[in-house]
Amino acid sequence: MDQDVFAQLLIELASLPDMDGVSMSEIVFLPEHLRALMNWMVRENSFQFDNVAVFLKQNEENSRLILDILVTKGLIEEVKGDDQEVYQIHLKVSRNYRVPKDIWKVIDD
Amino acid sequence: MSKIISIHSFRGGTGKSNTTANMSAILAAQGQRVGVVDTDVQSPGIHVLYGLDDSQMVHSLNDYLWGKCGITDTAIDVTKNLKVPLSGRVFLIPSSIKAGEIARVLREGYDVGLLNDGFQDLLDGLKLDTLLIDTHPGLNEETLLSIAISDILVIIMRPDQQDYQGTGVTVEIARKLGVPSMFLVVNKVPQAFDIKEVKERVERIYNCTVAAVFPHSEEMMTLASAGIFSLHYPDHPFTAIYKQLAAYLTA
Repeated sequence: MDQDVFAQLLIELASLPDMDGVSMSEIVFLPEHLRALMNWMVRENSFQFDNVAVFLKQNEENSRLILDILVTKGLIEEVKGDDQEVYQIHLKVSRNYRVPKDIWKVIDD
Repeated sequence: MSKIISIHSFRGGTGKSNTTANMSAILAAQGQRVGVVDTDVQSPGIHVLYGLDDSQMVHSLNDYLWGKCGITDTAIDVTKNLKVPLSGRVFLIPSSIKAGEIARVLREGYDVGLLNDGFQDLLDGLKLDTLLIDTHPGLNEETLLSIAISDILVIIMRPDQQDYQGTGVTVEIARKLGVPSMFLVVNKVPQAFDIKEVKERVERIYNCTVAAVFPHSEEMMTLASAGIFSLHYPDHPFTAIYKQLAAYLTA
């Protein structure tokens, strides 16, 4: 990732509101560079700082900046790691099947 | 290096589960350890093709999603159910077929991220060569996740105008999700159609390789999901097409 793309990524991140997690359908509609980063993170499932720096092809300072913004915005979260921080995408709980309550009451009964 | 392959279609009834089950049998016949996850929690069905009944289903994917067990606890070795000697193994991770449990997962939702953790645990815990994900038709959160984490996406469609449109949407989204490899399968093609022409047309429309074209088959309809076609009819031309598809997936 060259400096232009890095700068673009910062702009894309700045345009995002704070989010309490992200859904896959939201990832699909993220701007190009941020989407590519999130796609990579989804595929990795969990990742460390070093992995992110390698993917971004950025130095430690720039990579840390991106990670911190992603955590602050609620797109990723730190999970338990042995010695180094481990991160995961903060995926929202899927609740996209909602139908009127009485239908399920009938099935439950 | 293990692979995750999602088998998907935009609309139901395209033959997704049949294709998944046939791929599992062919890959297992090649000596692979294959996992099959039924992520179609709304309308599970692939277990039928493996001759699995309620009594064999101690845990389901639903139990894992509710934190009742680890995902490898839900895996059932269905190799013997296939009643054909295979050098590899097939493990099925079924979704619950109990009405109350289907209702609960639809009503309460679940942490989609658990699926991602679970797929990785299956690959490691069962030492799988290939994990096949049988998805729910259409696009929802877990389908998008399955597509996003796949090494290969197979999209099945029929030569039908609604399928053409829906497949276009799926292909576009898969590209946005950066899927490394994608193949199309055209199924249930009327006998009157020219197979070569259908393949060329679909490839042209989606700019994507068509890995297999299946004509409509009376034998498939007659089998009616009572088993896995390529095992029941090893010399049938359909089985050759399934093997051709498997070759794309293993290349």
